[in-house]
Amino acid sequence: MKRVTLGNGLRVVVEEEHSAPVAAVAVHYGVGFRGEGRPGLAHLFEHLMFDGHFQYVEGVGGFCNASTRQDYTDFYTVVPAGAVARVLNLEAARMRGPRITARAIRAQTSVVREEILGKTRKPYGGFPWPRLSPVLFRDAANAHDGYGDHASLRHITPQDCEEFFERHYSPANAVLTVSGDVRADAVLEIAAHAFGDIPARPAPPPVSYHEPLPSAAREAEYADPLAPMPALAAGHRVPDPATGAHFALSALAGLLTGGGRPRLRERLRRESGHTVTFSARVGLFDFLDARDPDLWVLTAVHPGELPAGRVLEAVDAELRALAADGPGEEELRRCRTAWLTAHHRSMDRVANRVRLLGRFELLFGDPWRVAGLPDAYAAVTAADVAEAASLLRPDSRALLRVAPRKG
Amino acid sequence: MIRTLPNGLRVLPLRHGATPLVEARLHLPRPCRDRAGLAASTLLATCLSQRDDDVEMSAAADVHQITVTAYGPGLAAVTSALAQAARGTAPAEPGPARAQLAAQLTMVRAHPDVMVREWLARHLFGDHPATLQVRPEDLGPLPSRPFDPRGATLVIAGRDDPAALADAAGAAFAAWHPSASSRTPPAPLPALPAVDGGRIAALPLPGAPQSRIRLRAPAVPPEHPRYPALFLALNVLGGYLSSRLSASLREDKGYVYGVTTFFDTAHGGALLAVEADTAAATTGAALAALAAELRRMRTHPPTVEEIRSARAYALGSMATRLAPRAAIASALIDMAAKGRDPLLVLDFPRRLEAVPAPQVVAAAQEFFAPERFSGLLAADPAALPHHLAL
Repeated sequence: MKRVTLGNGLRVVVEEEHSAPVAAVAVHYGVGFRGEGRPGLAHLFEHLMFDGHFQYVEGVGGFCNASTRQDYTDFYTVVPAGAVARVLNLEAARMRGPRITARAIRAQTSVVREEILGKTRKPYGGFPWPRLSPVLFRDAANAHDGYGDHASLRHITPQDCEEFFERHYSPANAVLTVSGDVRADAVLEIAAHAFGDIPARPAPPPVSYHEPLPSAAREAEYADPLAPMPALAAGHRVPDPATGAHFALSALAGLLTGGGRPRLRERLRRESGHTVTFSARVGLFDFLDARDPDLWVLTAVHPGELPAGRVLEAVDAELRALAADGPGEEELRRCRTAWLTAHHRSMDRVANRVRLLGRFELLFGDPWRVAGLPDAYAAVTAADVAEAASLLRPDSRALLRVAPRKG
Repeated sequence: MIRTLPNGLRVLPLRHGATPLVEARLHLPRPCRDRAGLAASTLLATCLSQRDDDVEMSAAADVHQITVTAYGPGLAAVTSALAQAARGTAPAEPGPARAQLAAQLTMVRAHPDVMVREWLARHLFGDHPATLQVRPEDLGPLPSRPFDPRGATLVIAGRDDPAALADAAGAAFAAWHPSASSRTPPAPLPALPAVDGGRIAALPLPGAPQSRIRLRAPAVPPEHPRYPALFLALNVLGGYLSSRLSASLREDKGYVYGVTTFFDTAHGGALLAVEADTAAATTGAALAALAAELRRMRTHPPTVEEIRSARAYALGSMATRLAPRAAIASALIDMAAKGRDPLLVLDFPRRLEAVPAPQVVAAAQEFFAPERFSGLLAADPAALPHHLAL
């Protein structure tokens, strides 16, 4: 793996991986919905960057997509390895400056509206994100809905977009990553040629979105007329990812809700006879996917006869038990194996690999951390898990309840 | 490349990629002719998914079969877990799995897409077993019924020598025999009824903010000589974002977030599928724009450039999408599970390269006539156009 910084500040990371004749290119820009200023602008801008790009990429036989997260927007493309040079040129062209017209804004605003409808007007749509964020957070940057709403997006002008691009899409605020069946030296040469003469602009100064931990439990409820059963989401603030605490928090999520006999489901079945469907993870969208502040989130879909309070009691009882005694060694070993298996499987997809490398460079300045993930996870001890469990206190928890359809 | 074991199990070993995991898929035929049978299959699949060891396993059931997915770091552990699954016995007491499945069914069936899929199947296939749906109240006791190795297929992919993969499978499955009482493997379900054109039905979804257009027309199966040409023509119409439907309905008019065409080969069928989701207000306009693009496939046939692009996309996406080991294993077993030769997957790029452009034009001319399509328009009653036709 190689890493260089071009004269205009663009960071370039290249990893050779020759097991299949494919390669992936990712560009991460250091702006997500926390830094967008106007609700939904980062996501709409992500759409606008695609003007014509899909057609080019598909013409060489690849696929591409993008996502807007808290602290970054990433664009990624997977192609047969021979097409990498062409993709690099395409990415350089849109980093130089996309063509954004009022007509394109109108069309993409309606596409975004359709996307939001598709994702929210379904059972448990918008659950837990974006509905949990305003319960846990107070600062608008952290709390607001990153999809944005259609009404406010309609008033965005080409000039708004130009300013957004000027401010956030500079080479110095971006990371270019290539992974796959390529030669690193050749890629660096093409990248220097394609991106090197994009004029330098200063990267926006880093902004902290830190806010104080909730001083008390917070709670909200909304009705979902499409949901057949009640549900709840519990969100807890977690330490800065730089502390390394997220590995034990991730193991904790696995012990509580993963594997063949997850602790929470087993406890509720034993105590109430009811079956509850749980999931939990650290990171609003993904593991080590954002800077501070981020959260640990648990969701549960439960039968109406079992009140939310009973579900939460079980969660708290398991957290207390794990904080006091930690997990058993065999239980923890299985949890590690399951994580490692999932990790290898995910890394077998070049799109996942390139995106992980790129976001680790952008968020933490350290793409090499990817290679160390299995060891970091394997080093999690029962005592680490116990400490992680003690962090998730009911008195600073955000609770979101979903009231299902009647009858 | 395919090895058939003495008990009849077909084993397809594959060396692919570099990750340390073994990816295996086991297709077990189990035709279901009623809801009780399908409920038992579905419950067994859920039980098989609840393992508590180092092999990750999941299973999916439909009216034809159970397909088991297993992966993990150890070759022997993965094959022996699958051999256990082939006994047809739940690894644990099925009570918890039943409760979990009941909750899942309640949640899944609340999704409008699932409801629309059920309606579409009934509209097209009447009372064929393919339209059977399990409800939570159908879940009963779990009879232990061994599977028959004759007709079953195992795909096993890893970084080891294929012969070593096949040997490991041979050892793990050696003790699996057809039960003494069954002379012949179970007969497959009857073929799907033919889809007649021109039957577009309305499915009223009061209050639905988004409408769903779901169309089907007869096609040819993957092994048919005309399949690659029709595949390219379908890509030109709507197979990817550079297609005509995407350009018109999404990029130009902004009516839809998603519009797609694909081959619907579920239940052994061979159908062209065209699907779009649109806001209630643009329902009629989206349907009209879609019909116009179908007609244009005949009045303005695919150009040389469109065919070149569709072919490059198809070949490139075969390479990129099948690169992960899990993806190629799944593609091979899907083909086997549809009763077709799994090696069709590996031979498809060669066939795509060989298609002459005039055959693509001929396929567009013959297969895309709007009157050949039937399907559903699921929408709020106020959003439904007066005239339901293409």
